[in-house]
Amino acid sequence: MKPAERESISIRLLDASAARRDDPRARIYIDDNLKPGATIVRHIEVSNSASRAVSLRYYADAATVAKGSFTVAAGQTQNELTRWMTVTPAAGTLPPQGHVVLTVTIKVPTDVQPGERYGVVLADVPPARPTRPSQLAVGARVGIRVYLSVSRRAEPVTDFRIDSLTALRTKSGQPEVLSQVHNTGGRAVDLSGTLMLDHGPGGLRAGPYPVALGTTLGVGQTAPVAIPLDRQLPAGPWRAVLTLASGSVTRAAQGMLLFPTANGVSSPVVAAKPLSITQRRSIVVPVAGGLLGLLALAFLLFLLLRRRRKDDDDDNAGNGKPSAPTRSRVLTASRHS
Amino acid sequence: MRHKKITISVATLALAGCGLLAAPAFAAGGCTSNCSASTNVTFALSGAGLSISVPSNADVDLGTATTNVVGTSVTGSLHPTTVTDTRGQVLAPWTVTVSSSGFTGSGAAAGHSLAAGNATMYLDTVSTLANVVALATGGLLPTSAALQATPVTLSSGGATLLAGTTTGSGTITYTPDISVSIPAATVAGTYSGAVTQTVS
Repeated sequence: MKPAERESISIRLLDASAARRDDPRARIYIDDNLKPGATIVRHIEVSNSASRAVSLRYYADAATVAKGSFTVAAGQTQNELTRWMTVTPAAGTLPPQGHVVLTVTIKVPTDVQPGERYGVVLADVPPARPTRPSQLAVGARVGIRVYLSVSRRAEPVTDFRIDSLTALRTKSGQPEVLSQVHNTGGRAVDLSGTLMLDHGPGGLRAGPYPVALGTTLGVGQTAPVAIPLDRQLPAGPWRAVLTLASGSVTRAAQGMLLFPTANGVSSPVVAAKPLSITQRRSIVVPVAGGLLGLLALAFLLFLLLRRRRKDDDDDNAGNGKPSAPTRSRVLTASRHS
Repeated sequence: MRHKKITISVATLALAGCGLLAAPAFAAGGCTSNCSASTNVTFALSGAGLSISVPSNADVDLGTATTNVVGTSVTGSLHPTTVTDTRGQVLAPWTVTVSSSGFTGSGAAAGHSLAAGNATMYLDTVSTLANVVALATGGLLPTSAALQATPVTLSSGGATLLAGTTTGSGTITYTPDISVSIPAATVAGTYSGAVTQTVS
C-alpha cells in the first residue's frame, strides 16, 4: 500500500429552484416542495481531484432525520423518496482531474401522502477487495442531501422554537449550555447559530460561542443543541442570548444562567424567553441610529442647499449676475444705502 | 456632495452585482403535467463542492485475537481521512456517517458472521482543522490534538461519527479508529468486512 496515493472525490450541486434563491440551504442541498405528480430535474457534478482514475457508482440512498442528526443509510438502501429518484449515469470511471454531470430526476407519484422525505445522491468509491482475507476494507462516499417536501397546497412553513436553556458543567469541567429546540414547522431544520453572554459578573460580556453543529431536526422533533463554552468562564449569573438559524429563518431566545461549580452537574432548566429578532437592541439600536443619522444629515444638506439656492436666486434677482458671498454682502449694503 | 453621491451609487452597483451572480441558467425539462412552475425554473449555482479524500487501497489489518470465555476485542486505526468543504456558504453543515454491513467469516469460520453492532468507531486524531467547527459524540473537537472521542456503534443503518459546520471554505483531516468486540461464543476463523464513511 502506498499511503501517498489518495482517492479524492468532490461533489457539488449545479442548479436549484429559482423560487429558493434566498434560501442558503437550497444552494447546497436539493431542497424543494413539490405537489403530488410533479417532476423535477437537477444536476450534480462529481469531480476526481486525485492523480489516478477512479471507478465510481452513483445512486440515491435513503436517509433519516432522528436524534438531531441527518444520517445516511448504509449501502444502497431504498425508501419512499429514493424509489421516486433516478440518477444517471449509474456508474463510470473518472480520469484524473475528470468530472461528470449527473442528472437527478425526482418524479413524485400522484397518490402520495403529504410530508417530508429525506435521501442523498451519492458518489461511491466502493471498498477495494482486500489483498488478504483478514483485512478490513474501507469505502468512501460523498453526497448531496435531498430534503423533499410534498404538499398539495403552498409549502409548509419552516419554523422552530427555543424551549429552554440549561447551564451545566461537563465531567471534564467544561461549562456548556444545552438548549432544547423544537421544530414547530412543516420542514426539517438544519440549525446553526451562536450564544452570547452578557450582564455577567462585573458587567462582563462573553461570546459569541458557536453552537455545536450538524443538528438537524425533523418535523415535530425536539432535540438538545449544545454550546460548549470556555473553561475560564466565570459561573455567572449571565444573561444568555441564543440565536439559531435554519436557512433564512432565524429565532432568538434569552434566559438567565448560573453555571454550577461542581463537575458533571446541571443547573435547573430555565425556560427560554423568545426574543423577536427586531427586539434585539444590539442590532436594532445601531442600525436605527445609523439610519436616523443619515436622515438628519440628508435633511441638513437639503436645507443648506435650499438656502444657498435661495440666496443665489435673491442675488440673481438683485443684479442678474451670479454672485460670490463677499459680493452679496456688498450688494446688500448698497441696497440699504 | 458629489463624493457622497458617487459612494452611494457604487454601493448600489455592488449589490446589483451580487444579485447578478445567480442568474437563471438551467431551464430543466422533464416536467410533463401538473407540476408547479416555481420548482421547474432553476438557476445555476457557483462555488465548489464538498469532498472526501481517503488513501487508495486503504485496507486495515486488525490483527489476530484469541477468543476466550469473556470475549475479547481487536482495535485498529484507519488511515487519515480529509473532508474539504468549499461550498462557500457562510455556515454550511455536514456530517460524516459511518456504516458497516458486518463481518463474514471464511476458512474455519465459513458460514458464521459478526454483526456490525460488534464494532465501534471513534475519532482518534485530528491533524488539520481550518475554518471548521466539528463535533464528535464526545464534544467539540480541539485543533490539532490527539483525542479519543466517544465511540459510536456501527450498524447497517449508519451512525454519525462527526458533525461539522464550515464557515466559508474549510478542511479537516482526522484518523478514525475501529474496535471490534469478539464475543466468547465466536467461532474461530478469519472474518472480513468493510466500513464506509459517507460525508454529506
